[in-house]
Amino acid sequence: MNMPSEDIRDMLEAESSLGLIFATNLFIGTEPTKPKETVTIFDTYGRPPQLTLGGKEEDSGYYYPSVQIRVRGIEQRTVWELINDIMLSLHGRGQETWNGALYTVIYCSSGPALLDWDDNGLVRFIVNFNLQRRESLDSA
Amino acid sequence: MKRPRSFYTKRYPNTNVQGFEAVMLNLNTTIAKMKIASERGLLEAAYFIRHETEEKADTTPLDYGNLRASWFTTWSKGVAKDPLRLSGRFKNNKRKKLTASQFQTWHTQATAEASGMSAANPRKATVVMGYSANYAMWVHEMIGAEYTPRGPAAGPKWFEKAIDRNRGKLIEIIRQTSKSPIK
Repeated sequence: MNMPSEDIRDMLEAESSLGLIFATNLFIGTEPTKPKETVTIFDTYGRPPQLTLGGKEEDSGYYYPSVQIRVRGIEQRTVWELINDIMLSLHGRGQETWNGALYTVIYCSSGPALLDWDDNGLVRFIVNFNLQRRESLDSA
Repeated sequence: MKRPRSFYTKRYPNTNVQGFEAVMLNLNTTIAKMKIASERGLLEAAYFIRHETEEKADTTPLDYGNLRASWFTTWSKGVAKDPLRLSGRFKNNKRKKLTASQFQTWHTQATAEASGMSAANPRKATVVMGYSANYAMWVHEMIGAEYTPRGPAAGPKWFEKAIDRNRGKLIEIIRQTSKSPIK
């Protein structure tokens, strides 16, 4: 399975209405200094993986990772609208297979929140998601 | 258990309570099933979390120690004692030009507000724990920020992690000290 952030990246890229393109305005792991308007996905700590009912087998157990999405931009209103669209796009999705991983549910664990204004005066919002996934049996 | 409102500055906005909803939902649901969750049980649970945030990775990020010192717990009789005896011991942060007295002012305001929440309903035990430093939420949510090395390692989301990984223990602590635990 890929890093959760990579799968989330693909989900966001596939949502054409968001206008996000990897390495242009969509990034993983590190928030670049340019461009000013960016969306960055971070892998954050999740919950312990399933240990029962065959959970020890890598291809049958469920994993519960989390990601944080940080949106940076110039206009507070525009940034909030984008992060809200991202939240609406991901929250409640489930039973989808991405890159060999079956995502049974994705849900927002804390809604869009204003993080700060960075050193360049750009506004940043964050939103957190909990994921539940396992190896897709179709890809085996 | 709720964190109090932080206070507005230019860089660190007044973001109020964000996050923890999913973490706390199941915990609060289970606690609510106990017929009487004693205040003592809730306080013991808060003390346990305080120890966890300082002793097990990821710990509270540490620079001058003001974030760690801004920890507080309130109950119906006001501000509870800090088991680590660090709460309220603020230092001047020369780099950010924040004085110890400024931290103390925030602390007083936050604990006053939290004490009011704890004492609001005498028939319902309410313990509030959190941090009064106005940048606490920023440090908690800022993935990738660099922290002064300390052992064990400090990191973002230390508070949420401490609650999340100890959910079972917290329930047990509260249950053991409750007058009429669920059967």
